[in-house]
Amino acid sequence: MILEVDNIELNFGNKKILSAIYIKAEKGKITGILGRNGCGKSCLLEIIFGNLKPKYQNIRINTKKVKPNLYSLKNIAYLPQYSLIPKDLKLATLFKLFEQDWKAFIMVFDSFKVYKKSRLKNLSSGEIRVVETYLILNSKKDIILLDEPFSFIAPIYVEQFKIMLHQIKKEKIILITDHFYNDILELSDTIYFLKNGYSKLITTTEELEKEGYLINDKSAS
Amino acid sequence: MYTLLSGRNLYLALSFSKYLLASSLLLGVILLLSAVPIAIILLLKILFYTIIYILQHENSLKQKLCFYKNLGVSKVTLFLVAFIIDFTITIVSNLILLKF
Repeated sequence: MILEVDNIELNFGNKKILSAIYIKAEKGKITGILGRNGCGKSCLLEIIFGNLKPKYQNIRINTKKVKPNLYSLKNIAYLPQYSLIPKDLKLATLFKLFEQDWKAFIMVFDSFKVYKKSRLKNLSSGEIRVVETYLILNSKKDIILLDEPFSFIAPIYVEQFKIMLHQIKKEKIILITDHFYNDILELSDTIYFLKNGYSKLITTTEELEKEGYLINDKSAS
Repeated sequence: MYTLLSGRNLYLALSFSKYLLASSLLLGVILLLSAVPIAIILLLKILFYTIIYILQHENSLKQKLCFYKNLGVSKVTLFLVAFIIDFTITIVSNLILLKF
């Protein structure tokens, strides 16, 4: 399965956000998206999911053009950078809605077992993020979009999610973006860099330094 | 119709629109008690839902919808199911009031 995104034009007023984008994401590979704040990473994921309508867009699955609201195909899950789940829901209900096994979750995140009958509002923001990331990552969908999944999450949980991502990528297309670039570089099989509205395929970290995203260690010292 | 009104959709529509539903029902009860014809009440409800639907373009509400879209439920489905619940309760309330 291959997801291709191109010919996207997104403007906010006079400001051009996305204009020359080409992203190709495949099943079995994790595709990372990097870029500075405000470069359009989140907008791109919102467009793919169908939550944001650009002026133009062309999204294809296995070379076939799909309708703009990809979520309506019920084959895509999206973790936005903002809080996703209503806080008054109980965790047990939430796991039923996402058709997830609570026991399987507890096997990985043991400290959450006391929360089964709790409402989400009784958890810390970091714990909520763990639940959200787990549910989206494990949802029975072929395409997974993750926007800053590691924000607010303790390093031990980040490592758990990295292991999970490596296992899950065999069956799914995964697009991920985060400002913890080391994690993205480590996880991703393919990396795209967004700048001035265009995307660029990145093959070495030196290219990220040339683009001004990373500081060149040699020149810094 | 069965899929539209599945237990899951009913639960999600209630979770999404509980305040909208509560205010619409309250308005309906007040109008029923004021002897406003049921047809007018239902028309007002359609208008009420349409206005709220259009206002959903506001950003924070768009973010709220993201959860439901992840579960494969669109904005149209949420509003439609909420309206069907509202419509049913209003009709039943009207029938009960007519008995007395």
